[in-house]
Amino acid sequence: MGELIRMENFSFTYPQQKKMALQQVDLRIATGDFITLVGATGSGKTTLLKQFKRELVPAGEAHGTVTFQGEAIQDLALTTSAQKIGFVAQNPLTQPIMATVLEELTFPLENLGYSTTQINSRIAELANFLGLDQLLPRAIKTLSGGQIQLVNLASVLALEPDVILLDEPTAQLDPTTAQNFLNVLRQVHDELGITIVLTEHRLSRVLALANRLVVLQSGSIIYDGNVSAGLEKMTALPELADFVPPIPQFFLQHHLETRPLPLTVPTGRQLLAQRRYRFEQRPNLGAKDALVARDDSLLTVKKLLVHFDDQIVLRRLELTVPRGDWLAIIGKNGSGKSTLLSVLAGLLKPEHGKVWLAKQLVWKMKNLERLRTVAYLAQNPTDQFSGKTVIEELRDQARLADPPVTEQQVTQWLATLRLTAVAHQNVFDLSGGQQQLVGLGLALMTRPQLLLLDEPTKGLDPTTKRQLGTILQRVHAAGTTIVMASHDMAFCAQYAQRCTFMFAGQLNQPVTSRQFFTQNFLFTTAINRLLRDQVPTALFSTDVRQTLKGGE
Amino acid sequence: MQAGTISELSFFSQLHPLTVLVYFIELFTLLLVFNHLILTIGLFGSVLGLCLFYFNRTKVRRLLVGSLSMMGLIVVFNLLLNQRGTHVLWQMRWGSLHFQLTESATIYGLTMAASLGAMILTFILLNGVLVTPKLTFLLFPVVPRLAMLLTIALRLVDLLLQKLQRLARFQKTRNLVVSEGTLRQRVKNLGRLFRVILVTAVSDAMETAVLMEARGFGAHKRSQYQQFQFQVTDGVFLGLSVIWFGVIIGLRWLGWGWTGDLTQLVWGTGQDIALLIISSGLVLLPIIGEGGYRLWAN
Repeated sequence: MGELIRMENFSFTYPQQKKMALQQVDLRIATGDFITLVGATGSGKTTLLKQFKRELVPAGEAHGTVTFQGEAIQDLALTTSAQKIGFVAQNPLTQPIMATVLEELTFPLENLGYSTTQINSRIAELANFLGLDQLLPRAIKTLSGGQIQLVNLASVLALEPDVILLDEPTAQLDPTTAQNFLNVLRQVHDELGITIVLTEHRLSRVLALANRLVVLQSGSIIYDGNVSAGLEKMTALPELADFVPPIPQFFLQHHLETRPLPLTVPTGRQLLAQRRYRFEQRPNLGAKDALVARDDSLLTVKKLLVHFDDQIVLRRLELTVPRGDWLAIIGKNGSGKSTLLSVLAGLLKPEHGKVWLAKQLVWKMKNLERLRTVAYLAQNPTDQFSGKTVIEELRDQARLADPPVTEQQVTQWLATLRLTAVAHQNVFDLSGGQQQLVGLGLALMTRPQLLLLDEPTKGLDPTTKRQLGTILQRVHAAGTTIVMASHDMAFCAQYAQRCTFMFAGQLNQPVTSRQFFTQNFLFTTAINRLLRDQVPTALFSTDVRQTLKGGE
Repeated sequence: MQAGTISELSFFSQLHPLTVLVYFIELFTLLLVFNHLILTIGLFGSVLGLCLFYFNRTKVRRLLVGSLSMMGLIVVFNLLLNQRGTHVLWQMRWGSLHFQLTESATIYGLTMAASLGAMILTFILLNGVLVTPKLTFLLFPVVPRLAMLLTIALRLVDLLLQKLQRLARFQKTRNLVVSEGTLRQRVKNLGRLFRVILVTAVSDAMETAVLMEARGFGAHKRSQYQQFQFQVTDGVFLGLSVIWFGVIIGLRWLGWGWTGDLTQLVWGTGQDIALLIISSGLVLLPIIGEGGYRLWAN
């Protein structure tokens, strides 16, 4: 395989920063590679990825060389760079500029002056290859996040690039949609031979596609090689251990001697069967799953009906949330979870039905009174920001509490949320994970009785996710009732007390988390799917212990 | 104000953008050159009929409510400010103030309102027929940069409206409510909301601009994908509409449908009825085309 990109002794420092974002990085990317770049937030993944395309290179001081097919990236003609090196961003909504799918696909080809005949044949071929033919006349604004991300990929593919760079392309998608997107990416790589370089936090699905794993830590590459050995190395590092997906993590934690490590549930099950590894449930499993008292309800929802245009989103929905509960609502994108949370928070008034918060109708409360009782963290927390610095945003919200939160308490919250170092930075300049923590801080600042969280782990790296879980556990222990909508099975299984499924505008009867995930077939944790035959109640690696070694 | 786009299967949608453009120029001209009440009300009715034919009725009803309130304002302002006229219907004295309601002011107010209402509906129809690719196709050969700028601007306005809707909902969690409090507080909060929108919009637009450049925008002279062929039906439609329009303008040249001295305005004449029948024919020409198109089907 020929060499496509070469980075030699490359260092990069952002303006007004002393610490280098990248330090003496050497990386060679061969034609046909599928590389996954892994690292904690701030390790330099995105900075590294952006060095491979001249239009994306951030402002700053660079040393060393980056070449594409032997030519320095900065010297590439704009047309060559656009044509040969594709880029797909994390947020699907930032890329589209045209009104319809067809126009979006033709956009790069028109930019480079292709004729109508050439554009026609490219689009026809591409749309059929990616299954987008039915979407061509649709307006971009009518598509789901997953469909838009697929259009973004197709728009880049239209130029027949040699390499596609993807910056956490599935971070904003639900697991099923993410899987569909990765399946398409595999097809693009395997059938078209296009080189893929992508950064990702959620590794469980993507690693099975990659032939190389590159691990970054504090701006340096600490590992570059095959996936299995890379995962072993990551497990040994506290900063990266949480990034290892559950299946290989299970094999490593239980010291099962299988190399290469299995990456998917089927290969894991196959290995367990082949080597005759047996497991049993640990004693006292489920002791922490005690139910909350049922007689003191904080939130009561009766026959809720909401529709947008002609589509019913919530259909005579009923729900009772006791004080002190932690309820997770699970469901696909578009199932109505966000609409339900908006109604519960009093931000949206339903056409029919009632939402009682203790004994008050939620939308009849004065806004200030309501936000002191119910806090809401939106799916995209930036929609709740004012565009100030972190500390100013928190102070503004602190003034709304009754009694107001003191300056000392705001400082304590900054420390709890690990935002002290960025306290004087503008909220829009923070990473996605940090923005999520600011959003949580804003929600908690008014000391609410009820905390509503919409996809709180969306786009978070495993370390920030764990941090978020710990903060929420503390808040919950202090008496706050939590209702969260999420796709994240592992997070819900680990932290929520009760879970329910949202489907066709209605909620199923909530049950304890363990009961919910052990009775589910598809919507459950990876470990449950791995060990279903042996320990049906197991949700995590720590829920079981080995009884027989392989071959005994 | 928007009512969506018209069905791709319709005859009107399949016309060449140039044909559509000429038709709408004729329509707007027609609405500007008459000041007789029966004519303007008739034209308003014809354009409304066209909208009801092509758009969802619920959406048209909503648009009509919006337009009628604006039309009502025009009538009221005309009655208040226009004190001239020959036939006084009602008058009032209050100190040194003297108000008189004249017949010609009433007629002129209603005429202006009907004309404005018809203009609004015509513009909505234009939006639904001459969609962005057709508009870009028309502008691209003359002003390519403006064509691209227009496309981008339309998309960004759309994104901005979506953002405004989201922020108005979620900023309530920061006690930024535009529907509560005194008028002063509401205005202040609206200002704060616009500031937030501006900050986030600029941040998003910068990222979008970089991604446009990454896909070759500005690297080469752009080509135009959408091509529209001029068909026989375009020739027939264009020919008919131009002749029809010529006849109407000819009649207007002869003084039909126009009164120079506004104090002499009357409710209607026989000439107006005849002119209305001819003009409505031109307005409803696309519906006649739809009929022909369906008859032509196998």
